Amino acid sequence: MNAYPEGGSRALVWRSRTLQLLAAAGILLVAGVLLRDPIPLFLALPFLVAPAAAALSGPRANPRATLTWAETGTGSEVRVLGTVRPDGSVRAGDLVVGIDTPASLVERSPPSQEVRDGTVVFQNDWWAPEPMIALVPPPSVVWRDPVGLVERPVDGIAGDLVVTRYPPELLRLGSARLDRTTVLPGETRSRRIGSTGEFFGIREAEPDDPPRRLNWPASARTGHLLANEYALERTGDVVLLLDARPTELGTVVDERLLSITRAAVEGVAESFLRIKSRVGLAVYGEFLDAVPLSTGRPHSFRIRNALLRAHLAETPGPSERCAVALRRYFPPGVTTIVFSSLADESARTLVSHVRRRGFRVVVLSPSPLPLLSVRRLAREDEELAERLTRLQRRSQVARAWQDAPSIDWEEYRSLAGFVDFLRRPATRRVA
Amino acid sequence: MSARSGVLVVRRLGPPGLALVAFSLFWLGFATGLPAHLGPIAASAALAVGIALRFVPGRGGRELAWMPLVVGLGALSLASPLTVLAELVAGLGGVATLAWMADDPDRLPGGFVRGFSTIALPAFAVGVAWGSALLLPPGVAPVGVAAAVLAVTIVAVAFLIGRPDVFDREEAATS
Repeated sequence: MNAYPEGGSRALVWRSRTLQLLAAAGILLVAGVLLRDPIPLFLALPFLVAPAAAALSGPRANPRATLTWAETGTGSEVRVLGTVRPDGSVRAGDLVVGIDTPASLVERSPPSQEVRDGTVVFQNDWWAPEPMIALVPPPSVVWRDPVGLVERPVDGIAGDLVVTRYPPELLRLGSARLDRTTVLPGETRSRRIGSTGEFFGIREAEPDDPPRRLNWPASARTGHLLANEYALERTGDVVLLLDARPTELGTVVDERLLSITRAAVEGVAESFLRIKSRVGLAVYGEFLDAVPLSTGRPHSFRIRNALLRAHLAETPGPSERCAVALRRYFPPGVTTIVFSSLADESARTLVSHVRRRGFRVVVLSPSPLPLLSVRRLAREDEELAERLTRLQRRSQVARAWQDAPSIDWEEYRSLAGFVDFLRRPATRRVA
Repeated sequence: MSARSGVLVVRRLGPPGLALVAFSLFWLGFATGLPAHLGPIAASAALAVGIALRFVPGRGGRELAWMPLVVGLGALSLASPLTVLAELVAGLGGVATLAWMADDPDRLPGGFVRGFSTIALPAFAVGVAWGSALLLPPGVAPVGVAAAVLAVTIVAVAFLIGRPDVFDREEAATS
């Protein structure tokens, strides 16, 4: 993505300051002529000439520059460092670099820029209050004349930056095997037969079987060649269903919850892909956007790209549509982790519909309470309102438990409850 | 005050451009000869508001800091008696305002020097106009000539704003 793509905006752009300056000059001109006084005309003259002078002082075509940037923060600190090196047609000091702060990040200090060896060095310090995954578009780089009257887009600025912050517990998730979730959400065990893995059985040898696969003792006993068969080692399949429909919480809270959820989904997907599970992704807004079950490193990129594309739907789709569409992409019986805030009735009916279509459902529900608590209430009512909100939330999660095990995820920096549930699904009830 | 905040204050003031604007404002303020020192008071007020806008937290306010200076210069130039020197100082005030705008505290330092090529042409135009006013016989005729020249300039500027691509130079296919 490029703010000024190749072949896009070619002409220079007059800034609003130019129009303001010309308006001031026009007023002075009219006043001078009406009062037959040449002094205001002398004052207006530089303002009339300056825009043309500014346009002529710059490059006559869009300059080019090379962008190099990276994210270097740790923990909740997000630091974006980068350089913009212009070609010889413009000075680095005349370039203006601007980066929009992603919605899920908070600016810690004003962005800084300086020129070193003909290169603009910029730095943005942000803070990630919650786990998040965000796509930072390339900075908008323009050449602007020193007086600030005209500007030209700079070509050649491309390359998105992905900033991710996961809950740290996801590193432990890799040790949780999906087949331990059989009791509550269940799992589908792969029966694919292949050349490696655990011993599965003995069959008649074929001409192209390598000698190492032949079972020599069994062949000696029966008098004809037999070969071993193996069951491919795989812990199971898992579908991650992200509910991206708007709720009654409002767009701002929904967007933040979606950002947190995307980070969790990507972290969970990475964890299961690491142990060779097949992972599928479904994002449901108005319609279903699915990434079919697969495994391997390329698949993690497919999932990441789908997550970066995911956004809050403007119109919520009906829950049944999601369940019907899910069956087109995924086999029934597969473990399905639903990421939903459970904030309204439609989220709960989604769980119910998906379960009725044959999927073994677990709900990981990011709680909106930490995001709602920033709202200021009257002092005497604050404690009561908080208690009522918490009770309402517990009630929502408890009702969701009627359809599927539901983990209330309130501490965004920790997925301990979810990990513990996957390890001991039969003995723990997390609500 | 730390060294960093000191540098920030100096950058927001923009000393070279500000000195020239202040000189023009106060020269015109004293030249008006208005009673009760209204001229210098108006010059001080314009200068104070302009500087104050440079220190507001929002960038939008800092972008408009030049406006009070232009208002002050305009009002004082209208009140000043017609002399050749007043015309020169008014023109200098316009050029100085551009120089102060080039010293933008929100951009990389050195704007005053980098903006020389942009400011030189308006300064040259003021020089030519002032030279003409000095050499032409006194009367209202030069006002009419200047007004006609300015009208043509406005038409040209309006045309250029509508067609900014006239400043573009297409790259040769073989380059």
